[in-house]
Amino acid sequence: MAGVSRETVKELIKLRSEPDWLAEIRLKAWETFEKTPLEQSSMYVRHTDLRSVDLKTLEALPSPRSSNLPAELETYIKESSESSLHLQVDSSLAKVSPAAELARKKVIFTDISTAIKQHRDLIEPYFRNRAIKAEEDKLVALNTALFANGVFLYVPNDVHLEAPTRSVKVLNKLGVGMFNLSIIVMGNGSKATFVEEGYSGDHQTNKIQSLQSNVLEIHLGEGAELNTADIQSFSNNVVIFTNRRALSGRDSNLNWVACPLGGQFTRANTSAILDGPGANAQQVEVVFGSGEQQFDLASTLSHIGQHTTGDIYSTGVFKDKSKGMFKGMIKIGKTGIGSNSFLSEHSLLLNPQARADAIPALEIETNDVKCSHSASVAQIDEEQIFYLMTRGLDEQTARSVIVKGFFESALRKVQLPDLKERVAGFLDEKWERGR
Amino acid sequence: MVYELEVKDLHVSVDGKQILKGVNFKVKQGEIHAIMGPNGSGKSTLAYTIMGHPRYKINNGEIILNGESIGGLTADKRARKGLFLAFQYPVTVSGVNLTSFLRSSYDSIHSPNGTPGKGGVPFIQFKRTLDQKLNLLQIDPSFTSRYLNEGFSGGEKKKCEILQMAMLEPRIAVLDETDTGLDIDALKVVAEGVNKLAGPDLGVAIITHYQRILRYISPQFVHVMFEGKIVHSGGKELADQLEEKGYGWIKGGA
Repeated sequence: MAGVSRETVKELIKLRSEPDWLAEIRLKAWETFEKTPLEQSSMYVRHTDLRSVDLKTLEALPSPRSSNLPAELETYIKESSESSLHLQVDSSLAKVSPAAELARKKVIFTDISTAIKQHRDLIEPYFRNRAIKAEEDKLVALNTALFANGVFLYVPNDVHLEAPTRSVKVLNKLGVGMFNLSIIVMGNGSKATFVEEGYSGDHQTNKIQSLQSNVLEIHLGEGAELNTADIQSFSNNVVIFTNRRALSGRDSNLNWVACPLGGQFTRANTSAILDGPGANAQQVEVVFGSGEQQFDLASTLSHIGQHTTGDIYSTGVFKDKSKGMFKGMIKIGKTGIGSNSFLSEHSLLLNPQARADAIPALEIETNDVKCSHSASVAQIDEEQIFYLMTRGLDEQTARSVIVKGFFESALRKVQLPDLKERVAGFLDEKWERGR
Repeated sequence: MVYELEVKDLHVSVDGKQILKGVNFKVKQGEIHAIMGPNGSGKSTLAYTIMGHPRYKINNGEIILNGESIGGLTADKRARKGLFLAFQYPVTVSGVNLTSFLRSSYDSIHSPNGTPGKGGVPFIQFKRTLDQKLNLLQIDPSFTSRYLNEGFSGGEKKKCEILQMAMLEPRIAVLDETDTGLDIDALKVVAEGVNKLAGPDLGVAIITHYQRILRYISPQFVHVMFEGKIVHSGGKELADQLEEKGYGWIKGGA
């Protein structure tokens, strides 16, 4: 059955034989979705319009596993025996393979449906008291009503995971609606890495739209540390809506990296609520737009606890007719005494038709804080090109060196060397492909 | 063969404004020339035009390297023919690692087919040359793990220019106001670098407003520019004369 409606939600509940408490949450979220207006502000509408997504034709229900992993993607997804993998193809779960250390360390790494069935006691509280409320955002409401996949990662107190956990999403069919909800719970003093990756099969030129709706909620206990990344190179017929939020406990540490490269339109809303004193969060966003791609990226740091620290580094390169919008926000509440926060949003335009906007915002309600920001949008610098050319590089190579250097300025903030290399590899590949 | 760069009756305008009004000038491999002149006389315009900056339009005259007119070539092609320009204000390129930049630059100049980035020169050979040049110029190797001119002091930027010059081994180098913004120690370091690189294979044209750098580098030829022309040429004594009398003296001499 194509399209999404209340009936779709009910069917999903039946299909998964979900418990009443969850059914209730889903149906309530559907109501919220229906009654929430499309957009709140004109700034929001400028780049985002849900009307551009045709919900009537989407295939939203998980189908019995029909599609195989496209051969051309196997190299990306190749499993390493150490890391844990959650793989979904279209809206069906293909595989969950936890690494050996997980069982030994009593770590739960499973798909969200299994978690609801087998770990109700653990997961239900996070549904009862969501990090992101359905009422906040129409798209989160829709996701809550329809999520069919996602990861539940539960790391007990003081457990350190050596190898990364990965969640890989592959779009192989056309006209698919993928609704994912992932919940990560990091116990006190725990440590882990969680990487999300998204790929499309080889249907770059097809016009039939697919939808990716992703919600990621992170709960960090005292002194917990999480490195997390989201890298996607979906094809240009995919619309992507992402909401991520972390609730950070005392002295916890969160590093996250977002690298959206694909999709026709990406809207991502990322926020860290630094609740516990001494909590730290760093958000690195690296965007590379081409063709007629559009990116609408909002990042928020909310300093509630004392002496919390945070940085947002947003970096975008836009070529052709692509467009990007960075909306960075630092909020320091009355209780955020002694906080230290930095926001940077820099974009490089490679064509006169490319566009980028940086809209930094600071909301500070207390004294004795350090808070600053820097923002810029500029065409590629002709003087830089000339300088490099005088050293023997032809114009193409000079541009390439400048762009890669611009990315590097953001990538150097990425803490894990493996992750940095991976993101750099993806950027390189997209750059080379477009030359 | 001895390389020769010749600038012949060069008329150049920038954004529609005529700056050079007929410059004639020659430099050969093995020679050191100083081009002096007050602000606005067109010295930097001459440097940029020789290297092929797209904003500088040649309205008349020619730039000739070994009998070949190069006025229509882009900067990268001129560089591959053995021309080098040390910038007055070296440009920062964020995030570009100096070693890897030197590598692609070295490659594009020295690899036989001249295709940049295609790895014509084996890394080991490149590295050996780099170590040699760092040693020669007494630059700490850690310098090359920094990003290109990012966060460099004025002196470090100029040192970086000299290092690039050393690596690319040009036949003719134009040093545009290399002494600008340097304290005396930095100036000495840079001048020593130039002296170490000078020799029968390198022709140098030092463009300078002040003659203080000429205490450390000895030119055989000195030219004085004024209002878009070279108005005096002579030996080292010309620089001494300028020191004594100031630029006011040449104004009548054109």
